[in-house]
Amino acid sequence: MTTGAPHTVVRIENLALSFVSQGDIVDALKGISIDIGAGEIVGVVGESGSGKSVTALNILRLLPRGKTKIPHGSVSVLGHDVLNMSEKELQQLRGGEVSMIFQEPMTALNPVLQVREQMLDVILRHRKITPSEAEKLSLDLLADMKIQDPARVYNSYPHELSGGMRQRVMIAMAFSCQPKLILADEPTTALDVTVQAQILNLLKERARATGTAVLLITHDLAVVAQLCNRVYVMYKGKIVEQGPTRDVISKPQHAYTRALLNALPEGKKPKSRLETVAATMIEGKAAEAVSTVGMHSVQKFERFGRATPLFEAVNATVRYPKKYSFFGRPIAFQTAVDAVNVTLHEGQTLAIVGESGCGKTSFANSIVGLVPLASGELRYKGKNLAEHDEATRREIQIVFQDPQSSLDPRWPVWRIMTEPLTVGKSPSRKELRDTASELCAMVGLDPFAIDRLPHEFSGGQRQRIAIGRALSVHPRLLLLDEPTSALDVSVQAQILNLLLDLQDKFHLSYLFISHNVAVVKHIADHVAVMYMGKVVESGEADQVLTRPNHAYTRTLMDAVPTLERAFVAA
Amino acid sequence: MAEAQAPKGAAILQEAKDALVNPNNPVERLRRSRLKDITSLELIVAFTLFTALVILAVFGQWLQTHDPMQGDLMARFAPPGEKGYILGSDHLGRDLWSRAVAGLQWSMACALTANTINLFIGSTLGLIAAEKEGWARTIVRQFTDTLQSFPFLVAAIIVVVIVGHGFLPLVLTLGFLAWVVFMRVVYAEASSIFQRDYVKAARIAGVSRLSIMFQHVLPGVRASLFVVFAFHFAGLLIAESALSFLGIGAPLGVPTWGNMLAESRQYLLKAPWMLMVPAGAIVLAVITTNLVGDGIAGLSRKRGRSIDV
Amino acid sequence: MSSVAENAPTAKADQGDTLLSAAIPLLLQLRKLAWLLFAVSTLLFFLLRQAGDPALVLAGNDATPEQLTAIRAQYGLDRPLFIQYLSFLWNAIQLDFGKSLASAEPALAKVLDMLPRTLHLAGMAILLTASIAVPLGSWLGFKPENPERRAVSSVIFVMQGVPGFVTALILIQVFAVNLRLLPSLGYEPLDWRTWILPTCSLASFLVPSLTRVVAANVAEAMREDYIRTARANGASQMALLWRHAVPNALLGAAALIGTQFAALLGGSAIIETIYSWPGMGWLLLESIQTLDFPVLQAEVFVIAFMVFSVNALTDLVFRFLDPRLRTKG
Repeated sequence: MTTGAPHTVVRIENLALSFVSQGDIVDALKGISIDIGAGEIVGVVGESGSGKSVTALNILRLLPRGKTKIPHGSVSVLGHDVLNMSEKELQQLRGGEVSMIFQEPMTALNPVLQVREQMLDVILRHRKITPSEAEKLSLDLLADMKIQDPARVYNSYPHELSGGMRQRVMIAMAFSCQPKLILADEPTTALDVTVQAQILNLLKERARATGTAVLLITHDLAVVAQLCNRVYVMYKGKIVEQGPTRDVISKPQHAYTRALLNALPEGKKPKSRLETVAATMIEGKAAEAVSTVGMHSVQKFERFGRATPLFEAVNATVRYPKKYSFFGRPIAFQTAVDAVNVTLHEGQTLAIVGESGCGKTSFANSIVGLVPLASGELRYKGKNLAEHDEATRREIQIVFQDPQSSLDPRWPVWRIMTEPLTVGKSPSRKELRDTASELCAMVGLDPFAIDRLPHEFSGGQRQRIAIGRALSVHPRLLLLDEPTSALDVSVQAQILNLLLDLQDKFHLSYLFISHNVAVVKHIADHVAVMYMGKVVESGEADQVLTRPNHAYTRTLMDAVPTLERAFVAA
Repeated sequence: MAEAQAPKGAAILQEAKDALVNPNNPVERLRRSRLKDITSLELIVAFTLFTALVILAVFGQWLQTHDPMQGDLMARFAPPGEKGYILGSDHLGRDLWSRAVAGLQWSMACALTANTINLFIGSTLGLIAAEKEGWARTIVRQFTDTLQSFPFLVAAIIVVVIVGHGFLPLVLTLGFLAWVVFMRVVYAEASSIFQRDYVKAARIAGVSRLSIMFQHVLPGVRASLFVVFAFHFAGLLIAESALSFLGIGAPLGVPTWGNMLAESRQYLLKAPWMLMVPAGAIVLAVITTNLVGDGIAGLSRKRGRSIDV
Repeated sequence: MSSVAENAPTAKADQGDTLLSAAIPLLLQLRKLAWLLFAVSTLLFFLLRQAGDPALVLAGNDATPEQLTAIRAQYGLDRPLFIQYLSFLWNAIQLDFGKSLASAEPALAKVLDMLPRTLHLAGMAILLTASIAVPLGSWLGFKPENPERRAVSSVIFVMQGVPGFVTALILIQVFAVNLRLLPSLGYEPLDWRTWILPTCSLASFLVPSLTRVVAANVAEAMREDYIRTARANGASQMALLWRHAVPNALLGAAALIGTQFAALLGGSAIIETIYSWPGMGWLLLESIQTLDFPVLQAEVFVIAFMVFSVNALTDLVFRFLDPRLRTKG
């Protein structure tokens, strides 16, 4: 057994780990070393595939043993050599001295057991107390989580609680057995910003109060800046940089860390090009600049002129049926979009900001005709959208959030990109393929990759394909429904750059829907903030986002973790 | 962390290039091709057995050693292997091997035809119901629910008796009663595909409903249709032989597995092989088609993983 | 979208009558049942008229034309078909299906006479099936990759290919004819030895499919996030399986158990015939072969009613077991 110094909670030394499946070996960790002292809050930052979650799961040996191999290295937790512990000993450790919080609050709790049962299970397993004491302890823990009505939550099933509430329960469970260490794996990624702020504060507060060490795994540098004393930066299974958070962020040493920081839209000049990780790594050479191959298409993008707004929503309202009568008629409605008024001029970007369920996606769907308006009007080029002919309506195109679901997995890229062109016409295969190559070049993809299937592309590349498809019909207005929220920060920077380039070149107008205030700040000219189906505040981006008037906008702005604010606080 | 910079620079550069623009490398493409996935032992066994059954069914006439209808009263109840009867003879001295092959032909033809009818009815209704909300969906779903909430065998027994004996009535009965599973699967899968963003994108681009149906949705449910077709084939084999066994499917005297089983009941003590031959034939055929279904399911799961995830 | 439901201002209309809205699911079920019974009875009525002349069945094949006319007049068969249909419907609503052509008993009573024996057989078969398939499936699904579990899976796969009536014949061959341990047919209400073979024959067909479903559900549940949470909280292997995975898996399997039971109510016809078990399936084959119209009508009515009720009951139990459905209603 390796014994660490008494003040060390975790010591990982030169750990390598590979996944083995059907003869394929994938190296997930390539010799990492991490130390966490008692009561310390340490962050591990990295993008997807960096090995950060594997690191956390391996501390409790939660990875399937048959499918992982550890060629070398050691993991010592509170003096236990976890790599050589039996399953029985590990069960003592798990949830007792070390506990864990996961990303997905919606699925991390057992749906058929009450919160009560799940908490008592853990407490009675690890602590020598009577059930009634455990009951009282659970309620106290829930109260500590600033839950208004602990008794109700305690007796609820998970599905009766909101995401934020479930995550509070998870944290309460994690603290229930007085652990020395909590592993938090992206604990707030799935939550809305305002909820995220509360949860992070709670986590920090409880950890401080109980002297528990926390290992926080996240992709968000700002979250780390807000919470952690020290940070490790991971890239492709290695730790490329470590040190006190403040030093790492203000004076990054490694090229990757610098790239990651530069890729963040936060604090950069609006509409400026963001540096991308790949570009920085290839020493400043822009690897994915928009090619000039597609340039002769430019003239096809006609200008409309600035006199009237390109697009306007007047009291737009969307309702969904909520309840049906005996005869199947809807008798009660849910108002998703409530009398929304926005205006968008040509060549500009209007961002709609709001948290999940605020109605922003319903609004986008109504513009492209996927859901009908209950009342109000959508005007395009000064005329009711519904009165335009098909060809004009096609000047409005959409790019969806999820690049997995937005491309038909069975279609090659050239068919996907040119599908809109086949409507009502039947161009030859060669014409379509040529156009697809051109579009590929336009969005920064290899023009020779048009025979590939979507699964051969990464998330960012798929999003480019989706943008290419939208561009194929020479749109005037693009609806971008959270186009970067499923992507890593560095890829997000690439896509934002691409969007800005395209706007510049083709004088496109964007209706940009997002929950991410930093991104919106970077790309938008105008902003409308939506809350519960209503636009609570709108205006110039700069005005709204830096000097908000409405209380909700202020809450939203305060909740967004930023590097800047983290340092002011620290 | 200086060591990470200098020597790894080239590798990182290469990785970055790869990530940005994948070269259209033919070796890489071959490695990812579907060929690799098809080599599963289970599937090889399944298709070997299946091919054997198909060959028996198609070339049965030439593989039979005797006339399946013609008995030799001097050679009744011959045990397997005796007097030139590979699998023995029955109470009328007819060759069980030849009768089993004839039964195979009957069963395969019956199940195949019925299954095809099922496939067409079920997937058409499933697509109609999935495509759009409205009266068509309501009617189709109500109709399917009604049919499903009544035991299939009871319905089949009644209808077959009323429609009459013989190949065609039997096939039509099974064909028009047993399509529910196809409707369910197509409805579920098509509904989920209709929710995907790429279908929304096509709709926004103005692609017609029919075109979306045939270019996005149908290819999307195709893999599941193969799987259901295989498993359902086994179910129809069982249903057909059950009806024949009850004496209401195939006409009496026609060599089918069900009839053979029914005939064997009086001679369980005297000639157990009369039971074992048709029973073995049914079990073998059903297991083979189940294996094929399982294999296809595994294959499409594997491919689905590389495509959809 | 969940927070839409929590936060968004809801329309005023849904403050309506809560009593009515509570009754709607029940009313919808009853409407479905009524529609089912109507559709099935109507279909059967016209199908049966296509099959043969009831007068001919009543009078026998060698009846003179005069006798036939007399019988037609007596039973109202000389009226237009549609009028006959209406009168059939009117009687059926009052649960009067006429008298059996074979034994002159009231048709419905004859069918209901058989019902307990069918329920008895189906109940035993389901109990046996569940008590084998649930533990077996849980064991298989817990670690589906283990060599010995894969071997068992293969055996189950082969068993799935053996139709119930083939099993029945083989069981008779082995246990009744060769070993002479058990009676080959017949039903004695109090002699459990007559129950064994029919029950086993039915179960042999049901066990593989239920086992496979339970195993698949358990395997799926074991991959869920909440299992990882429980593991991270130190739950033992047994706790993971029995406290977390199996209850979730059984929610899915419960529906199948209900469907299987429902299907047995009429679908055990072959097994009942093989073992001469005087249940509803046996009666069905008896009456279809003699074209005993009233009994058939009553039989189909009862089967449809029972199957529907069992399914509705399963649904209800399901709602009670699954907290997610329980509160949403």
